[in-house]
Amino acid sequence: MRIVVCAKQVVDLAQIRMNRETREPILSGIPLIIGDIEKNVLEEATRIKEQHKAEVIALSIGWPQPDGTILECLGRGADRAVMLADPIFETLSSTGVATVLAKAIEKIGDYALILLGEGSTDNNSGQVGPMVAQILGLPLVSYARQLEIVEDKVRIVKGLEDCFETAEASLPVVVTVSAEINEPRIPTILDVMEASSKPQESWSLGDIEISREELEQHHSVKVLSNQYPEQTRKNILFQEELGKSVDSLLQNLVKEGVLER
Amino acid sequence: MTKVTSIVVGAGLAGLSAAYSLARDSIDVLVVERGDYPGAKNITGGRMYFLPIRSLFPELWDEAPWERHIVREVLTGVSKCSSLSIEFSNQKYNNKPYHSFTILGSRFNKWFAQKVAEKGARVINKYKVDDLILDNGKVKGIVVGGAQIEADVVIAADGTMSQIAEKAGLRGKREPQDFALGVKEVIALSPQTIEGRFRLKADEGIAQLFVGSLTKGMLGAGFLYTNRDCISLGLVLGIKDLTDCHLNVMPYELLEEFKLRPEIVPLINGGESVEYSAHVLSESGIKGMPKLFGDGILVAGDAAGMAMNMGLTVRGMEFAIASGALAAEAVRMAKKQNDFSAGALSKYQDLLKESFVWKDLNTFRHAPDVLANPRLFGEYPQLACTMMEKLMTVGEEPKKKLSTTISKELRSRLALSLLRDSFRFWRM
Repeated sequence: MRIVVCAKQVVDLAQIRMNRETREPILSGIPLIIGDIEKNVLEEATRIKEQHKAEVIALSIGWPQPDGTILECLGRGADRAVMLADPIFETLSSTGVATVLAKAIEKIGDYALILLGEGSTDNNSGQVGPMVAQILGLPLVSYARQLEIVEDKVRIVKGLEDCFETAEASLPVVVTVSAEINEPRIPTILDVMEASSKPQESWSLGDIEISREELEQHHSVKVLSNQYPEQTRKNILFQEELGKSVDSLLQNLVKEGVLER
Repeated sequence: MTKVTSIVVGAGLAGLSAAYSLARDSIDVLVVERGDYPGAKNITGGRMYFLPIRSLFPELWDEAPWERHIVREVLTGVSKCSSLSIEFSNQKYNNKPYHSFTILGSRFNKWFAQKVAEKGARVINKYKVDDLILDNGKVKGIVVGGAQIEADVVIAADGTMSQIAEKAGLRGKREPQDFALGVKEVIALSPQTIEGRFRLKADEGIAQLFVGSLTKGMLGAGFLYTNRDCISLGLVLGIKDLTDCHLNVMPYELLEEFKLRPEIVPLINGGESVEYSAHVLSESGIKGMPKLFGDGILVAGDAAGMAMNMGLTVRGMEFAIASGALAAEAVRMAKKQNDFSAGALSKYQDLLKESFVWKDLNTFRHAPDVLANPRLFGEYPQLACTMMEKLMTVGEEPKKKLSTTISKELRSRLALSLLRDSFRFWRM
């Protein structure tokens, strides 16, 4: 059984600071790392591999080259990896990403299970998994919080808003997983060392028979603004003697409606 | 079991220098770093004196991420409400090869690690070496989160508090006076603002040292270094004085007070604090060094106590780079004979003794005792400021002759100690 894991590299959200003047996130110089949900996806793939005979292939597309993410996937149990790097990926919409992934998955071939996160750690559109299923003409089970392979089927518990739903689908199938599905283990240093000697392939757009013109149609998302909400601070400094300052502070708080008399 | 030729513990300057040298000689090397990336745990003031290490990796330095080369040195004595600065600039500091550079550990070591990886070394981040594999006292490898990796030789470059040197039994008991605590803030400002405020041209920088009331009589000093787009501002405080101190004052409180001094406020005004950090520094010089080699192990950089306050210069980064390179050289020689015993690896110490590292540390071996003099941090800066105040101030009273003012100040009870301390400083 062949499992394809799609993994996205994202900026390290923990390191992002905000520009106070433009109210935009400062993204330059922030390292790219594997997304959090991808760790759950790989853990699940590894668990399946431990129970059934399976080969796990990690697939990542991005720009700059997602080699750190690929290494992380290989350290977390993937047997081999395929990556595509192209500047065009930077501004691609979800449909564009899904198109590239689907083409690459087709080229990998012979897949039984395609696993993705329910939504990426950065954009979290949640669209790419369902779109890949649509393009490949495969069934989709989303928001999996429990996954079991039973002969040639998957049995999945989905987490919905107010209930769980159990679904069954025949392989091959696309499954998007949620973070509740498992607790990703931390790879040992030996896993990390082994990762760099596992096979990796780098494909170009030509390799997956996709043209630049076709992809350019998917630059449909225009970012109009990306700012945090405006915050206004009063910046009032009470500089009278302490007793008076406290009174002024109280009066102001009452005036602002923070306190009631 | 997995086996490699050499393992370097810690991707700081010493570790990366060792790994770079080993990889360049095609020796299999694995670097294990506990931080998220090389440099993540490195906290440097700081400034690197370039000339001693220039010849080590000439191919690297042109593209190194130096912050600014230092063209001006300022020594400032501070009392409670006044300060006296001595400023030294030298045209030669404007010429290549530059005398010294400011660097930021996080930027510099990230770059250095990339160069190390390009040479073929493996650098693994985010893993802490928990233990050594020991066989009758011989080091045979490392233990990381339960996984064992064997190696012919381990280079301990894991910093001032080196656990690895300790686990290998190379290090004796250490005392509080052997260490100092550095607290530092990195304050972001635009390059233009920095150049305007400090009267610098592009790429030029200053280094400023502060002694006096800012450490409240404790052994220590303040420092300010200009980087490309930020300022490193901090304090170094002797740990013995900090723990003994009846003032019960926290290092960060002293740093806050330092930042509020009128000498500092206009320099950092409007800047954003982007980093806040603290780190232990080794202060004992050559006397505090552990044994530098054992069976299957070498110790380099801060882990070997190779850092030192030499009064007007604070050294460490050059020692780290040079000792790492020499450790690698000793490994290369040991590999040729396929003998990694203490005897073979003792070559490292011989190499060090011929180098500037040992010579400088040896020359300044008395510096810690001379500098542990509380008058240097209390009375003398105070005396200098008081004297200047009397010389410069014109009050209602008729002004006394300069010689009267000076001799009156010097005839005070401090005179004899000043003479004695000057002599000790002279001999240091």
